[in-house]
Order: sequence, then structure tokens, then C-alpha cells
Amino acid sequence: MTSATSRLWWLIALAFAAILATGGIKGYRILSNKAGEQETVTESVIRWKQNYLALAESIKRWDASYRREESIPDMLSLIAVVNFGAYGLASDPDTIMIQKIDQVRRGNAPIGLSSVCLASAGAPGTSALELNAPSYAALFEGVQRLARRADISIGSIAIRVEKGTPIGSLGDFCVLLGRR
Amino acid sequence: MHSQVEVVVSFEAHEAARRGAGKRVLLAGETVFASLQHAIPPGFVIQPPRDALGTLIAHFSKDTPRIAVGIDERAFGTGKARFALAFDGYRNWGLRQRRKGTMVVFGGGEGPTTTKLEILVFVDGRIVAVEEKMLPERESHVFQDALLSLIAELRLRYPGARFVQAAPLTDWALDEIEFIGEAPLRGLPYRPLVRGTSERARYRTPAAIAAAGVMLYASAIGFGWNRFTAAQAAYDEAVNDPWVRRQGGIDTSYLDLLNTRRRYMEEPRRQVLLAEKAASIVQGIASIREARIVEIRLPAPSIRPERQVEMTVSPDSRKGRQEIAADRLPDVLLTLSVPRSPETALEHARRVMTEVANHTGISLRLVHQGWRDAQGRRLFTVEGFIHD
Repeated sequence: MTSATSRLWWLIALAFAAILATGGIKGYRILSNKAGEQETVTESVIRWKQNYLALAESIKRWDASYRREESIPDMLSLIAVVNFGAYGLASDPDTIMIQKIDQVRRGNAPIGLSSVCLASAGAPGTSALELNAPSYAALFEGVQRLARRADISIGSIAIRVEKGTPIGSLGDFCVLLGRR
Repeated sequence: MHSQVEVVVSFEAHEAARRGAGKRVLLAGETVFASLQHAIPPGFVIQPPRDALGTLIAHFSKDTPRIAVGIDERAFGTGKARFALAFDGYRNWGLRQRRKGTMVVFGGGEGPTTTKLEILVFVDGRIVAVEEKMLPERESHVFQDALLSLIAELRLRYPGARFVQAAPLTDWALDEIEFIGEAPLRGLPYRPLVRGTSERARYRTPAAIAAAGVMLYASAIGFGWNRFTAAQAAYDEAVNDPWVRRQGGIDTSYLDLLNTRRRYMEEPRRQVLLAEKAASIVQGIASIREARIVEIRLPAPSIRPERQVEMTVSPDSRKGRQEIAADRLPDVLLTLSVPRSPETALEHARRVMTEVANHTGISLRLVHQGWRDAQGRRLFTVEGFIHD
């Protein structure tokens, strides 16, 4: 073997190695870019899960606050859910009617909450639910506690006295029910 | 000759070569055997054969004549010395000339008792003959005669040939022979000696470089692939998380919905405040003996037929503070009943409203024509403004 062919072999070997090295580096870059993209997606999945877990408290609170719509088949059970008696308030179930059913929306999107609004038939004004209690104190105590319930929304409160008994008139009285 | 290169033409004369660890040794003369026809004689260690042509294609062609080369086996006990063959120098130099016609190159070594000539004959850029001739030592009186007869014989065989003489022979100073000195020996690679015909040793370093390239390639790709598959596995693990699956998979809009719900539940609820205020206002008025509530409405109905105001009263605690802005909507609508008194309605209203304001802490405004006398009692319709 001459030194010329020897040198040629060196050149061939070096060229071969250089091609492989650049090819290898290029291949590595492509693969690691792909891996990086994949990792970003994975991270978003993990972040999603973390966010979801962070909301666990809130989900629990939601489920505890709102009765499910499908668990309430009729008017009577709806009134039972509100359970005026537990607040020292009395109403005439025969006059209560559903005034409207709406979707609670935030930012124009329904948030999975039905708002079932109740009113007493023949109540003065248009859409108020009439309640009475033996005394002012009992009425306010009951209305305040009712107002604190998450699944009950009250638009306005009016109180008047009729024949010596105070009558509470709750405007836009709605029961909020969770839905799928 | 390079100062560090030792020229060895015969091992009888150069025992010193055996000591030569780490040295560069040029083998010439009797220490090297080269022939196109003959096999390697005993006492010589076979080396990779040399091509008779200098091209790369010839190197791979089976038809290319090869020159058998052997090295005196005594060269092999010389430690770490690196060796080159003068023969290779002549051959390479001759092939490099690439000229038409015939050229005869004289090389070899001068020993103490003999001069061994290596004669290479090139025709049109290829080696057609390799001959070894033994002449007497240079100082011998018969040397010149033997040399001249040899040259004459070669002249007969190769008429018109160019005759060239190279180191380490000393210049014969003959007109018909061109002395080129050490030109063929320059740039010869010096390497450790290897036994055998295989050229493997020569390829070892290039092969190592190529292998390193392959290794680099494989490990780069392998490393990248590992990263990629690891990333994929991590993704699969994250997505196939049984917990995530139970939630019905990744759904960003669902997450948004949950966040909206959370914010919804955290919204301040005005109704709680309304109920509290209603209670506190009613309580405040109840402590006024003569006043009775006919009706209280929170929030006040927003229907305002006219904007005329009869009178505004603020609680004493807010005296001197900012008045109620004219365009502020009332928070409360109150209808109060008090026993009729001989005062004018407005005077009466001022007195009652001041008392109510001080008992409840809210500012009051008498609605336009907001009084009425009925059954011995006087009714006032008043708007209330709750102060934070």
C-alpha cells in the first residue's frame, strides 16, 4: 500500500465519520425536538390534572351545594328541597307555581345550573313568593338563613304587614339545581 | 538523511539497529526483499504485497501485478522502533512520475562487504521489473567494473530508458545516470513492523475513525431515540392515568367550566346583605315607639316616575359628610305609619325621618308627595340609602 492510497483511506474514513457524525447530530436534534414537543404536551396533561385536583374542593362544594335536577321529579319534591318549615317560614304550597326555568350563565355560557323560579299565584306584584311567620323576628331570621343558602337565589325582599301578620315577599325566588 | 533516521542496510553491519527503541529506521539493501516473480525466501518476514501500479482502481483490481515484499526477520526484535522501507520510497517516487517511456531506478544500500542494488523498472507509469543485484562493496576496485557492466546490460534490455539513482546509495557520478538523492525517501511513513500479508494494520486507524463515526451516529440516534421514547412513555403514562381516564380524558373546556363554577360560587351574594339590612332596618324602626312599618322593599323598585325630592335627612353620625348624590338609586323603599299629629306633614316627616335615620344609620329621602293621611294615622313613603 502506498502512502497515497493510505492517505486516501484516511480521507475516506474521515469523510465517512464526518457524514455519520453530522447525520447523527441531525437525527438527534430531530428526535429531541420531537421529544420536546411531546414533553410540552405531557406537561399540559399534567398541568391539567394538577388544575383539576386543585379544583377538587370546589367540585365537592358544588356537588354539596346543588341538588341534581334529575333527583327532583315534581313540584312537591322541589318545595321539599327548599323546606320552608325548617326556617320557621310558612307558605301555601297550593299557590306556589313555577314561574320560569332558566340556565345560569356566566360569560354567555351555561355553567350547568338550572334556575327554577317560584312565585305565589295571586301575589301582589308579578313574580314574588309569599311567606309568612308569626313575628317579624321569626320572619327575618328565616329569610336571612334562606338567603344564605347557596342553592337559593333571591332577587328582592319586601315585607309588609297584613292584618297584623308580617308577610315576606321574595322576588325572583329561584332554586338552583345542578345538571349534567 | 534526517538526523533521527537510522539507515539499516544489513543486520550484520548494524547490530545497533536492535537497540533502537523509539527510533525511526529506514530499511534498505539486504534487509528488504522485493520481487515481482519470486516468493519470499526464508529468513524474511512476509509483508503486504505492493501494487505494480499506483492507481486506486489498480489497488482493488485482481489483475494488478503485485510485488512480494519481505523484511529481514531480525528487524523484528528492535523494540519500539518505527520502520520504513527504502523500496517503498523508490516505488512511490517512480509511480508519481507518471511519464511515458521507460525509467530505471537504482536504489539499495551499501554494506561493508557488498552493495545490494534494488532496481525498479517503470514503463509508462507501471513497474515491470524489480531486480536485486549484488555488487562488491563501494570501495572495492572491481565495483566500478561490475556496475558498468550491469548498466550496459540494462541499457541493452531497456534502450532509451532514463536512468535514475537514489539514496542511500552514494552518488556514482556517472553522466548517463541522474542522481536524485533522498527525494524518494522524503515523506515516507514510519510505522511499527507488522507480520503478515494482511493490510489490516494499515487500515486500523482509518477503520477506527470510521468505527468511531458509526458509534457516534448510533449513540446520537440512540440517545435521541431514548429521549423520544421516554417522552412518549411519559405522555402515555400521563394520559392513561386511571384518574384522568375516570374524568373522561383531557378536556380543557371542562376545566374552564369548573373554574367558572368556582368563581360563581365565590361571587358575593347580594341577597345575604339584603336580608341582613332588612332585618337591621326593621329592628331599628321597631325601637321607635310611635312608628310602624307598613312595607319595606329591598332593593327599592327602580321605577322612578319623577325626580322631584321633598326632603333629605341623614343620620347625625353622617352630618357634614357628603350628601346623597342626586342620581344615586335608593337601596330601600320604606312605608312608615305614624299616629297623626297637628304638625304639617313635612315637619312631621322631618321629625320622624330624623329619628329613623338615627336609629338605622341610613339616609332617608321623602318621595315626592310621599305622605298620606288615613284612619288617624299618617303614612310616609321614604327612600333609604345604606351607607357602607
